[in-house]
Amino acid sequence: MRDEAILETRGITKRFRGLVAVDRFDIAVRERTIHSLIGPNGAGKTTVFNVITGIYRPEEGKVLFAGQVLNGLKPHEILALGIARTFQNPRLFRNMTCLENVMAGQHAHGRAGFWASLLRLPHQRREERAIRERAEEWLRKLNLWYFRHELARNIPYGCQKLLELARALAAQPKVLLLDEPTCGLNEAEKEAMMGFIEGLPKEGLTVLLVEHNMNVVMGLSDWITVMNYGKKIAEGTPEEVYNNPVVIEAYLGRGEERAP
Amino acid sequence: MNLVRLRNFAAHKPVRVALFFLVFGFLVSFPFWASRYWVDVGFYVGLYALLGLGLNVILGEVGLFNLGHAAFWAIGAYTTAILNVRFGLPTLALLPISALVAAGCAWLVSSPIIHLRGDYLCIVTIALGEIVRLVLINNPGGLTGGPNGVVGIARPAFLGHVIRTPMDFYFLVWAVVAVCALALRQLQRSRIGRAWNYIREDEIAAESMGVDVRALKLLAFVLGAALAGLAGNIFAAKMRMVSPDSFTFMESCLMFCIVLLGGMGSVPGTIVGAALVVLFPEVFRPVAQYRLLFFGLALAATMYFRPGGLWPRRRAVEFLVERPGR
Amino acid sequence: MLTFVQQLLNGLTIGSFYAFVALGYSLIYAILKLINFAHGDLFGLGAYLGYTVFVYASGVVGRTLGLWGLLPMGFAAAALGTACAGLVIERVAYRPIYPIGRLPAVVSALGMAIFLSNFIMAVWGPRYLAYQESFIPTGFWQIGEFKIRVLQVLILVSSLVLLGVLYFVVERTTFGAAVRAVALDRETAALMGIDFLKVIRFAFAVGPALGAIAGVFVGMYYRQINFTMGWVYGLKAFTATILGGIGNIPGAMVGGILLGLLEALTAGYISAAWKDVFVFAALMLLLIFRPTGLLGEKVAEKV
Repeated sequence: MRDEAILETRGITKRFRGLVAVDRFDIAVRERTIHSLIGPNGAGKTTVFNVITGIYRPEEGKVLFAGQVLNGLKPHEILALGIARTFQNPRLFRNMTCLENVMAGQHAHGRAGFWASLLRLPHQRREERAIRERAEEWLRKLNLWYFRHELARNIPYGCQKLLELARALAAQPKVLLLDEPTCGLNEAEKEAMMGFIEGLPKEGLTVLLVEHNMNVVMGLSDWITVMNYGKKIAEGTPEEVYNNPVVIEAYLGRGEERAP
Repeated sequence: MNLVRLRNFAAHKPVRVALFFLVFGFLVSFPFWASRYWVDVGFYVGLYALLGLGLNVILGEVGLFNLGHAAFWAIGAYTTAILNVRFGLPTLALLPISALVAAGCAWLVSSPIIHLRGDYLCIVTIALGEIVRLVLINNPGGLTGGPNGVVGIARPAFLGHVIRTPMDFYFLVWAVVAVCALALRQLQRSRIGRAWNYIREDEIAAESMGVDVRALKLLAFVLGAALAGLAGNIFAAKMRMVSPDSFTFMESCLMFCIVLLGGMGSVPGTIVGAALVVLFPEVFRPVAQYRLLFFGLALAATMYFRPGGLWPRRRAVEFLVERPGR
Repeated sequence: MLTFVQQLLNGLTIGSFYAFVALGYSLIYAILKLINFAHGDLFGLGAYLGYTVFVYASGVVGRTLGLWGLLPMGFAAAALGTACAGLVIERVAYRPIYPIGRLPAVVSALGMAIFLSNFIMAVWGPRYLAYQESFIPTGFWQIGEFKIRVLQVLILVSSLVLLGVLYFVVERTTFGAAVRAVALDRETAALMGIDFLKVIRFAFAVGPALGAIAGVFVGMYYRQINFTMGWVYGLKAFTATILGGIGNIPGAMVGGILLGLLEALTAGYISAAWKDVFVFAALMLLLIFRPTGLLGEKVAEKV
């Protein structure tokens, strides 16, 4: 029905010792949209992310990105193709500076090899400078400039979340997977984060969002997929999902919405 | 703490330059005023610094627990010994060859084990170190000379100058250390060095950010082993013989301690760590019987008072000092 | 056939030594996630303490109570002394350091290993000491051509009994549940009111005590001890721990016995000189294909 999907999973299944975490799950994310993936805790949302990014290998099914099958590719190859992600609890390089963290995003686009780096050849120096400048740009854009030389573990939690986003964006992805970007943030930080995510499709990005906060989901999403017990139980526009009795029963009706 | 203040002070560029020349001057002049005995001690500091630098790439930069680094040292030393004694190749020319052989062996053995995590890798490297030592003792094909090792290695010669005195060896080893330290500094400030650190900090995040974890871990292992191979060549040339006794598990432990005493991923720290490990027993020579006893206590105490090592790498300062676009 | 059975028996005996020492590694690893490199030397210390007690007590006690009165005394003294040493090391060198990080703790453990082996050398000297016949059960049973030494039976039986007791304590008692809870998740266990320090002290007393008993047995079996024995047996027992799956008590026993059998059979049928190469190569292969050991759980990392 929606053939212009840039990222798609077809019948992916992931089991952990008999426990089926994701069960023949399909999702199709259209280009330049914000697509939310919601569901109660333990529904398998993060597992879907891990399957898409190659950290887990699905037992069945296919992951397609712009028509290319991602199955069997390693996480770093998948990133190089244009899918970047953040983690539910920020997984920063804690003992490195914020600048170095953002520079990580561009690692896959760097070309300088062992000998070029060892001898500091001219093209390696040029590349280093470009990497650094682009990272600084992202730090400015996300208002993290002040912390650029601070170790990532020392900055406030809200900034860590932003830093992780900056790191993912520095990878210049086509699709961005965000795992609960507003979780643990205060109101002001949440506003800032939402405002930022909202602008991403205009810059050509596609966002797949896992989120518990219904205000965020309803406010941002173009399309919502709901999953429970590893299966897709509903999908549609925010209004359709909001009024879907199946969803209400599985999710909203049971009062599992997380307090902000 | 005072040490921290000292380090902050040492981070200013003029201070760094002055400090560098001070240390450089000390190292160069040392053999001219110290006794032969202490020049020899200085040689061993350099040798262990080289070994420490190699392990520092593996353990310090990438965070791979390698407690079998003596194996690569042994491979380098035996490569030199066998090729020189059996085939008459000049000892100094074997310096790069020993490094290559050690690196090749490291690539072969680490390929299947590199995916192991944390303590499991540690155990496998211990096993590896023991296997190499036992194979050397068992003298396969009469090549390694069994427990007695290989004797009669020719002195290395450089442009007709035969390297024989403690001073000669002192300069040889420190020249190699200087080149390697410089090379590692360059790598630290490149995307390769950063990627190594990304892996150490969080492997999953690193691979999700596009770092080819396996390839970079292998590179670190191979490079670290190559440095150990260099150390093996110099050691064999200095001793003029090699035997399996020199490459025990204890040596691997000492290298491990050098890296952590100095500070993970810190080049000057590693050299400080090596100096400590070599000098400690020398300073305590008057109480010879108890010196290693104190050494053990000192290791624990250092980790208590300075868990990050004596000269940890300071990232923030490093960036403040270097302006972009030099 | 006869040699095979003989080798099997040898393997079981050596395997029990490894199992004893491996248990200490495993127990401490399960609780602290720390490879206690000093454990091998605690085992060595046990052998020396036992030796000392035997030498000094064999006169009086040996005359009045005989060999079977002397033995329990020696074992008890070695176990107690080594348990105390284990507790002191935990208090001085580990407790202040393990909250800091794992690598500093590893270095501290290596430091303690160096300290202990040199302490033994400083006190008892660098030469081999001989366990004398007067305090070793020397009897044997002859079944046809087949010879079983009383000592071997003693070793096998006591290893089975002691390991059984430990297994019972850890798996079946309330305190054992606390130990397992701490092993699973230290912080949650502490929140549930489990005395974390008590569990650690248990591990650092019981592990070294078992090691000490093995040390005395090794002294009796081979009749000589040396200050380097801690490194040698420590390394092997450590291998056994990994074979069985680190942090797993039945695994440590199985690993120890398997390692002993592997060693004895390789020595008997392939080559004595290459037996250790086989052992370590087997370890490497096992870990390549089954990274968490034979009985270890397959753990998927949580992302």
